[in-house]
Order: sequence, then C-alpha cells, then structure tokens
Amino acid sequence: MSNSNINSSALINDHQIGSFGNYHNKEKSELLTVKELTNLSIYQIAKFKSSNANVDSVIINGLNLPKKYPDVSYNNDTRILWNGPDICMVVSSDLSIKEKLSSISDDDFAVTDISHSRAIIEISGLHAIDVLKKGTPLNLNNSEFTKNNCANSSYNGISFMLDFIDDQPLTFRLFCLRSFGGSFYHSITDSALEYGFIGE
Amino acid sequence: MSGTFRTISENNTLDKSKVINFTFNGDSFQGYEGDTLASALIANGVHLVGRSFKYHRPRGFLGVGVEEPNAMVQLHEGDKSEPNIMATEVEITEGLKAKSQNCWPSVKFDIGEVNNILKRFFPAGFYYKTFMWPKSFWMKVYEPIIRKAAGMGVAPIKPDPDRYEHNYEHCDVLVVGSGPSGLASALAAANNGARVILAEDKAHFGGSLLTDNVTIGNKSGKEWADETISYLKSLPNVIVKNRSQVFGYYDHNMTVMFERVSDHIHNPDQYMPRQRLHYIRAAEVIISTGSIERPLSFGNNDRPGIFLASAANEYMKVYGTLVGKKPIIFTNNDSAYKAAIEFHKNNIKSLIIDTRPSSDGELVKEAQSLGLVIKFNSGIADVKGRLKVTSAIVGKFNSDKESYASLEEFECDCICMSGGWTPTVHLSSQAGNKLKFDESLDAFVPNNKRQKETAVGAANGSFTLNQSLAEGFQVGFDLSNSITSNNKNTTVPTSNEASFQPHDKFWCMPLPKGKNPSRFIDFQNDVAVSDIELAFREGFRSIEHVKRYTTLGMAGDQGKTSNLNGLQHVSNIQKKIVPEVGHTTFRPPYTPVTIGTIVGREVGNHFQPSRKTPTHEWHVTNNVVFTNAGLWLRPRYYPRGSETMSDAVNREALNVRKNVGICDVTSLGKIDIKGPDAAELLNRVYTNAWMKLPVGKARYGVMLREDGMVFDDGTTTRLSENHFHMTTTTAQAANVLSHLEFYLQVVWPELKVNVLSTTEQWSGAAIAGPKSRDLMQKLFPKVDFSTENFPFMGLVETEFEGIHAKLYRISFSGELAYEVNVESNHGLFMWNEIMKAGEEFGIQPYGTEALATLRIEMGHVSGPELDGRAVPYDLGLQGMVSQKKDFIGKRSLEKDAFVNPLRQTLVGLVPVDKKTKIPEGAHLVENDKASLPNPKLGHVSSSCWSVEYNNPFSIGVLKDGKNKIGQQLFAVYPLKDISIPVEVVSSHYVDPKGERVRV
Repeated sequence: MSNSNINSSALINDHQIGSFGNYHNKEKSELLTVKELTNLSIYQIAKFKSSNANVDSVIINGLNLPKKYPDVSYNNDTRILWNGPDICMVVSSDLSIKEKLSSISDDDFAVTDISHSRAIIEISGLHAIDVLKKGTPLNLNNSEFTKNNCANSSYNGISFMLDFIDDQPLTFRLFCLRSFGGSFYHSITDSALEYGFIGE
Repeated sequence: MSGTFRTISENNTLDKSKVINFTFNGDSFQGYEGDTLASALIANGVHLVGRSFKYHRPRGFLGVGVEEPNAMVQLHEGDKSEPNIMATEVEITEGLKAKSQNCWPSVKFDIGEVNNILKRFFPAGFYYKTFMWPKSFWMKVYEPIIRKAAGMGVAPIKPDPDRYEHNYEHCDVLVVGSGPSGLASALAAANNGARVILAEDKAHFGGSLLTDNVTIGNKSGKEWADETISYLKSLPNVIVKNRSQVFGYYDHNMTVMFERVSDHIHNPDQYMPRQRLHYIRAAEVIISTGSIERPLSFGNNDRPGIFLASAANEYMKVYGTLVGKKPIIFTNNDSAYKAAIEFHKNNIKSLIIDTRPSSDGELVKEAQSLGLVIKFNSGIADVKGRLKVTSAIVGKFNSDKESYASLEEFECDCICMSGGWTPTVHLSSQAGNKLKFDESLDAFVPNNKRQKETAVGAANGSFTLNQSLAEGFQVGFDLSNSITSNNKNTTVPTSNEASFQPHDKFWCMPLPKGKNPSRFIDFQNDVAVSDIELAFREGFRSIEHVKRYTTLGMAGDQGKTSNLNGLQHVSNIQKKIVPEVGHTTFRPPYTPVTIGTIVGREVGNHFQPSRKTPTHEWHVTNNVVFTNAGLWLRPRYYPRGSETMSDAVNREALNVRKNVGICDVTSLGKIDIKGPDAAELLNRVYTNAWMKLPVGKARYGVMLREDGMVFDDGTTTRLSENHFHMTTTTAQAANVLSHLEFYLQVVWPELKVNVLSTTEQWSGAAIAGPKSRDLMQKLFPKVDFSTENFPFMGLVETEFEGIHAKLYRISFSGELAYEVNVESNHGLFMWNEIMKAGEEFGIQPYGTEALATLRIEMGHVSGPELDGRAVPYDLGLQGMVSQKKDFIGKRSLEKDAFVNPLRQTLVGLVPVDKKTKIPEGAHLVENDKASLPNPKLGHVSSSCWSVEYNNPFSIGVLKDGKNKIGQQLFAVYPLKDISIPVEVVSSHYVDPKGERVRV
C-alpha cells in the first residue's frame, strides 16, 4: 500500500499545479508562487496558568520559546511561533520533534499534537503582501511586521496564523484550521490572480 | 468630431491624439482620452442629459465632479448596466454607452413632465397628505404607481460580472485631497519620514492648482502640483492614489476609500478589479477636501446650460471644453470672474451680473480691463429656455434687494453662477467634529475634533493659496513629527495669487413681479425655496425635520450644493442666525459607492467559507446531498436512483437498524483537555461525577449554563490520568471551548488545565448497526471486541496499516456502534477501508437525516430539545445530576420553578392514525376546537418516520408529560391549519431499556 493512499493532505482536492491568473508575458520572478506545505509537525505548547515554571527552561532544538508578540524562534528545521501568553506553536520538519517535546514537564505544560489540524499554504513573491492585504486587517507595513514575525488574524473571515518566513523573496506561511483549508486556499489564490501565480 | 465646443488653448489634460467613440441615448459622439462623459457631451453641445427626480424637469450639468446633482446617467448595458452614475465622474472609454434615466419615451419628450405642470399638487411632503382615499386604492393603485415612479435609473437584473476587491492599509498620515493644502501636507509629512497615503478623487492631482492662475515658487500651480506628485510617488514611504475617494470616516480613525481601478480602461485585464475598497487605519488624517461652490437661487435656475462658475472654468482649463459661447456670469463674489477671464482667453465675451454694489478685487479689475460688461447691484430674476437656457431676465435691485427696479432680457447660451464657497466638512463631521459657523465665510468649518483628524486649506475655511500652503505644510510637519520625531521640516514656498474682496451674502434672488418660477435649492431632490417655506408654514422648525419633510440634502447628493443655502433660507424664515438653526448630520458615504465595491470578493463561492471534512470528496462522489451545520458541510443523505429524500433517509436508517451504516462524524467538536486538574475541571463543568472515571473509559456528560439550562452534551473519554478527550455537538463546539476557556481564565485560574480544540486533528467515522462488531473485528483483527473486553463506553487505541486509530464504543443511534478516529490525513484512507471491508455486511453511508431518525426513535435529545429552555429534569436526565458535588448551574436547579412537577418534560408522540407526520414546532393542546387563547401544553421538537415501526414518531416537551402517557392530545399547527390527534407515549420508542448498545 502506497503512502500516498494513506495520506491525504488538507488541500489535496484544492491545490493545483500550474500558472494562473495574470501570468502571461511575465518573468517567473514577477509572479507569486503558492504551495501547500505537508509533512510538517505542529505542536502547541501551553503553560498552565497557575504554573510557576520558567518558560526559559524549555528549549527545543536549541530554541527558547518566544515570549511576546510577534516573535518567532527559529532555526533551519524548526520555528516556534508566539501564539498567546505562554502559548507557542512549534512547527518543525524534524522527524524526531515528538520525542524532543516529550521531555517537557506535563505538570506545567500541555503539549498537544495538532499536525493534522492545519492546512498550510506558503506564498512567496513580490506581491505576497498585496495578496495578504486584500483579506487581512493586520498592519503589514515593514515598520510593524518583519521577517521572523508571526501573528494571528483573519482572512476574508477565516482565522489564520501568519508566519513571515523571508523577505528575499517575500515568503509567508499561512496556517488555518484544516476544515477551512479549501475556502482559505481559494480565497488566497483568488486574490493572487491579479498578479499571476504559479501553483507548485 | 470630438466636439465644436472646445477651447483654443491646448494646455489641458486631454490627449487629443486619442479619439474615443461613445454613444449617448443612441447617438454617436467622439471625445478625447482624458474627457469625462460630461466634458465630452458638453464639447459636443449636449446639455440636456436627464430629468429631475420628482418633477421630471429637464436637467443638464451643474458641476464638474462629485458635487454634480443633476447629470445622473445609466451606463453600459446588460449585466454591466449601472444606474445613477454622475456623468462628471465617468472617464470615457472606447465604446462607452450611456443614456438618460428617469424619462420616457425620451429625455427631450418625457411624459413624466406632467408632474411639473401639476407641481402645485406635488409640493414637499405631498405624500404625507395624499393616497389616503379611497382606502382600497392603496394596494392596487397607489403603491404600484409609486413603486414604478420611485428611483432614477434601472438596476441590472443579472449578476455583476466585474471583480471587486478589498484592501487593508495602515499609515501614519492619510491626506484626503490633493489640492494645494493636501499636497503641502503630504509633502511635509513624507519628508519628515511618515508613512503617507495621499488620496485624490479625480484622475488628476492638484485640485484648484489645475484651474487657478497662481504661482508657487517660480512655477505655475499646475507645474508645482505635477512635480510634487512625481516626487511623492518616488518615495518608498508614500502611497499616491488618484481616482480614489475617501468616503467614510469611522471610529478609531478608520476611514474607507473607494478606488476606481479600471473603470477608465478599455478592456482591462480580466483579473484586474474594477473597483477596490480600501480600509485605511491612519494615526492622523489630514482632511484637505477643499470646498464646493454654492449655486445662486433664481427663477428656473435648474435649466440645462446653467453651471457653477468654477465648473465652467474647470471644463475649460482641465478638459478644454466650453460650456457655451455666449455666457452670462452671475455671482456674488470675485471667484466667478476667473471663468469670465478664461472665456475671454477663448475670444468669448461674458456678461457679468454681480449682486454686489461694486468690487475692487483684482479679478474684477482684470475683467474690467478686458472690456467685459459688469452689471453690479443686479441679479437674474428668471431664465428662459426649457431644454436649454436661451436668455436671462436680469434685474437691477431696489435698495432693499427684495424687488427689482427694472428688468432686462439678455440672450445667452449658458449661465455660470457662484454663490460663494462651502468648505467640504463631510469627513470632519463624520469623524464627530463639532462644526462651528464662521460668519465671515457664511459657512460651517471644523472646530472641536473627537478623533485624530485635522482639516486644512479650504476645507478648514482657509481660502487663499498662502493660507492653504502654510497650513498644509505646518500641519503635515506637526502631525508627522508627533509620530516620527524626525524634526525634518520642509520649507514653505512663496506663492502668488489674485486677492479677493468679500463676497455678498445675498444669494436668493427675488422673483419678478407677478411671476412665480421655481427657485431650486436642492437640484437632486427637486427642493425649491417654496418647499422650505411650506415646511415652515406647516410647523416644522428643527432643521432635521425640515430636511426629512422636504428631502433637502438627502440621498446620494448629501446636500453638497444645497445644504448651506437650505440652512440659510431656514434661518431667514425663522429670523435666526444659522448657528441657531444648526446643521443636519453628514453621513457616509460622501458619494454613492457601488454595492459591488462594498461586497468585494464575498460573492459566489467566496460568500462565506465552508468547512469540509477529510472525506468530503468521497461524499461528493457518492451522490451526497449536503446540509449546512454552521459552516460545516455535513452529508445529509445519499439518494440512489430516483429516490426521494424520504426514501433515502428511511433506507439509510433501516440499514443501520438491520445491518451496518457509516456516518461522517468529523464535525463533532473535539476538545483536548490536559493537566493535573483535568478531571477536576470536568467535575465542575459537567453535572455528573468524573473524578473516578477509569482510564480507557468514556462517560456521557451534560453541561449546564449558570442559570441551570442545559448548555450541551457529549461523551468524554479518559485517555490517561491527566488527559481527556471531550466531544461536543457540532453546533456548540466553539461555544463549549469558549465556556471552558472562560472558566479556566477567569473563574478558576488556579486549575492546572489546558483546553485545545482538536476537532480538525481527528477524522471520525461512526459505524453503527448490529453488524458493526463483525465489521470492526474484520478491520482490526488484533482487537478483542467482546463486550467483556471492549464494553459500551470503552476505548481501545490500536493501529491499522501503521495508522494510529482510536476506537470508541459509543452510540448516538442506539444501536451497537463504534467510532473510529484517525488523524485527519488518514481519514479518507480509513473511510475507504471501512467501506471495502463493510461490503459483505451491507454497509451503507448514512447522513444527518437518518442519524436524526435513529436518535429520535431512541429518544436521544439533540439541538431541538437543547434549546436553552430545558433543565436536565425536563429531558429525563435527572440521573445525570449529582447530588453530592458542585457544578456550574447546580444552585439554579434548586429554584422552585425548575423542580415544579408540572414543567414540560420529554415525551414521545404517535399520530393516532399512524400515518400523518407531525410537523416540528406544532403545539400540543387538549382541545383543538377550543376558543383562543387555547392553552398550550407543550410543543413538538423533532419528528421522523420510525423505520422500526413504519409510522411517524415525534418527541417533544409536554406539561406534566410523564403523567400524560397514554392520553390523546392534538398537535396543532395554526399557520397551516393542521390539527393531528396524537397519543402520548414514552420518548424511548425503540429499545426502551437500551439493550442494543450493550450487546
């Protein structure tokens, strides 16, 4: 039995490969790229409110938990996104991340696997921010929101989490609840049609 | 021909190398790129463009921009057809089709003009006094006629094919308007490092700098504007937008801007939005919206060919268009002389009528030096020409200006009037600014602000160029500096313009003796001087009442050209000063905005998001009919062949009773509860006890609100000592999570517990029916499914093809049942495997309708019963209520009303004829023939066709229900005049002892 039959990603019925929208007569560098990210592990780490534990004591893959909005702790395979006071979201391609998280004290923290509960879109390109601005009321001006920042917001009425991955080229990861994935994907790609995009 | 009414001067914004063809009322015309529909029509000598709203009077153009009250046209055809568009705001594109509206059969001969002949019967507020008799005429005669007459243009009946989008922007300083003060503000703020958005409604930047003969530094006003805009566009911290109007100012400095993105482009790219709505949050808003010229009031002042003088000037200077070749300039101030001088540059001599005794203004002197005839102390009493002005009756005022000493007729083909200037304070007022009346300006200006808005230039009553520039630079610097602290000031350039003499506050001309032509104040709403006088005679004193009685300043126009004149006339009548009269409320939008722009992309599939389960596509492939459960799309039923819904639902439900069925239960709320105090939390929120629930076991729980009413129910399973998996109903999933979060964060912060929605993490399939055990055994051969090892309410965690699976033995259908939960990526695979394995057992999918049938037959409560009005005792859940421990809502349950034995409690209902389905919502009464009010004993909450007994069955709540079992009542449905004799039975219609789930 092939692994692809066992696994159906959140956007398997929505994400399309190819060029779309206003892409004619444009260089690839002028276009947006839209991908579905799969095979990322996602865990929420929440400190119990009455716990006196020091969040600095938690180190994951050499990373501390971010302590304030809109911070992200990151390295090559793992990003830890601030998701609320004493609440973080760990996003990692490290296959052993589960074992690494198991060392966190369950007397003070709740660690919950939510890897299957999110649809993840990565959008990159010159107009990535323009696409986001069409749906989210976040202030994405570079004085307010920069590389390695994250935020929770909504896009055309769908709650999502935004992770600013890179500014060369502009690259964002967008996480939404899996069940909203199709609507979210089509909302994002519909907004991207004006600039033209490549589905990868 | 692109028009015979063009200026000699080529110094305008038109590109004459690009001729554009368009039609108006079916006639073909040509214009140039850069022309508006208005300028192109005027250039072609077309002045009659529409008919007025009420009296169907012939109307032409009054203004040149958003202030235009008359020239509303219908644009395009078919699905792109659009009514009530200001011709002054439309840039012509190749093939544009426009036509007049509110007229039939043509704009030249309009049957509706009979209203004008009969206008003495249609004064202000006539509709409050008429259509009373005979009463029977209202529905069949009056209302249909009024509905047909209402409105101006015709709304398209097909869906709008264009794209509209929204955009969210944030900036330090938003500058609204690109006249001299706006450009100065934007420049100063941008140079000081602020993030600036500059918005201009028109296609061209510069405002009055495009029309006034002024210099800034060593450049003309227009050159300075062009250079400033080029510079601002080059800055990374500035967004410059033309064709963009800020039309609304809301709380927290949120403004809304409407951008015409591609209206001016012929065949734009299909993905380019037509219009875009920008939500702009600005730390500071600088309102430099300028001012609007006021009309003068005289007999028949609404005739085509009568313009605002500033509009005539702008048509000449910006659009290279002459509004006439034999003009009369009629004014009470110096500014209108600009038009006369510009006409003269085109070798056209104007006759100037000035209400003032004299003026020493520089422009007046220039006009005199050009040899133009000026008649001071005079006014226009009346005009002639029905479809286009042909002459004016000019009178020399008597000393009191209430009558004329003499009258004289002068031929003309246009009249350019100016009654002074009104600062455009709409946005300031929308922002909550308390306006004050400035006596010298004769107008309201911003005063006490409530938000971070600052008016500059003419919008602030500063009418000279020097004042505007100084104010703009200073405000731009000050406000930006409060944000950036860069202290980088911009030097104010020197400027030069003609000086002005004070204007005459006299604006409403006396009528010629023995005549009574209409003197209009509000052109768009056909409100004349006489209408305001009538309102006063009828007792209306408050300006708000006068507004509503006469419709002065209402609708799309929002009184741009009429408000001040209206207020002044009220103040004259009431012999009060204008500040005592006050002003009406300015409301957004400043000008009409298309519905498409407001809606944006929330159309079609984007109207609202939908939530799909991992097996969604399987359901689609298998001919599902979905139902909306909140935003979730849940399988409702799966019809086969020609099956009706009832056929399909009964088949699916019966198959569960006889064989085995599978139901997608992914949408049920799932909450992961973790922490040393997890059991304690459950013990406090559920009515039953939880501390001793063994690991690997599930328990049914009921949650109450603090008022004792049932909030939600579901099963919760103990996965480990400090880890629970809670399920909720689909509808209440988010509410239950919020409920738990509230108590954890506010009421019990001492508990070491975390709750997190894992609804999306797990894909769930309920497998129900007498053959479900056999199917499960086949799927999971290593698991012992015997009741001893896997009892009802048990949990087993196992693997299937390497996939982690949680198997719960729980049942909503009342049959032997299991729920298989796998991580969502594997949901579709698991579902397919279950279907394959289930073939030999006759497995069929079942949807929410069959699920409802199964649970109703069993007397299981759900949403219709948990309607926020029931306590546990009402639903037969008293066994779930612990008497030993405390829980949310416990104290409320002790209220006398909640333990009253006569409360409505859950019962079953079977129609006596065993055939007639009982409608949900039907009332239960003892006597269906009793006179009203017939005491209601209860109501029917859920109904189904019992597949077990092959007859209808319902559950509902009934007063003293348990003691009425065996009695006959009536289920009445007065809306449809239905009365059904019913027998009260137990709510547990099938398997009352609950044996099936435990086999």
